Amino acid sequence: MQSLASGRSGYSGPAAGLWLREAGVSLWNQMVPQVIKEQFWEQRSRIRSFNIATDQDIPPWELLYPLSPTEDEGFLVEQFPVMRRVYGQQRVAAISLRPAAFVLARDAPAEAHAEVSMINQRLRAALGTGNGTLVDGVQSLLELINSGEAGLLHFACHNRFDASGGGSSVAMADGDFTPMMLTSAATGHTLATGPLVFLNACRSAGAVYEYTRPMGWASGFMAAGAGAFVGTLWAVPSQPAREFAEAFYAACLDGAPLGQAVKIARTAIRRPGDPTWLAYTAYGDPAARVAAGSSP
Amino acid sequence: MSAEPKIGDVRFSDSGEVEVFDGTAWGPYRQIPDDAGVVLRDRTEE
Repeated sequence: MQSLASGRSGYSGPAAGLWLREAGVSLWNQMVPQVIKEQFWEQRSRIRSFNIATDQDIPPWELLYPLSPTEDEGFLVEQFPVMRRVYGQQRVAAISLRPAAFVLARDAPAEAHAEVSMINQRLRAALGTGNGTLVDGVQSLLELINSGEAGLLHFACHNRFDASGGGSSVAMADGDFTPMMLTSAATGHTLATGPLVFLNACRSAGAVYEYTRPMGWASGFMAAGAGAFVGTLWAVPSQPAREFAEAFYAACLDGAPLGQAVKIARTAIRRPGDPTWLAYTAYGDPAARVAAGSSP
Repeated sequence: MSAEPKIGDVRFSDSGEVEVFDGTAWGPYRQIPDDAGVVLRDRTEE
């Protein structure tokens, strides 16, 4: 996926699309029990959204391509709003975006600056707020997260992912921010407003085992009380990443439920042979909507 | 953020746009033409 995303796979255009499709069908065939497949095709016309509950965050479920000898309706995520949920996740029907904070690290790509400007201006116009807060240090970020008053946390930056043990990290002005640093926030459920956390960087929904359980940004922020988390399963090019965020926030602020907003944003960046539209993963309630009137 | 900005500091302008301090003044981030092809949001391979 990494090489396909960066254009170094050797596949292009329709061939890359075929590779993706076969990878999705293979995931469907290998990971989904036969009884579930049969139920899926029986119930498909009545499905409005799809929630994947899992304690194993590693498989790229968004790549699933259901296929039977007689039925082919495309990737799962193009058929329905698809969201993940972690076990024990609290139900948050109204997602807080206020007050907004943006993590824009010093080495952030150019598109990330444009992305943060766009979201900040869009939130100002839609919610009648002032400017959000720009955060570039671990200390100030953790103070915000642990304050109990954090709203939207939007990261537009690079993420380092070390599958061999280190997991994810975001380089900030005073050191690396890692999922382990959310331990106190998870203990105290300090994201008390049920905010959206959107980590728009490479492989930001990846997880590695820490002691006894998979640990990553998604599980860490959801345990801390996030109402929803949006991240990526593999490397994403900066331009479509900005375009995804633009379409996602536009849909949310237009009143679309979370699951539908993710689906709209995927469609907005879908291009032949580019897997970025499948890289995004979202946790939370697909029917949740932005809490336009949330304080302060 | 300290009173004296440092090169690379960022802030929002009154219109809500991100501005960067270049050592002498605040201004919009200037896009640099990308010679390396696709820019990934990843620093794993650095």
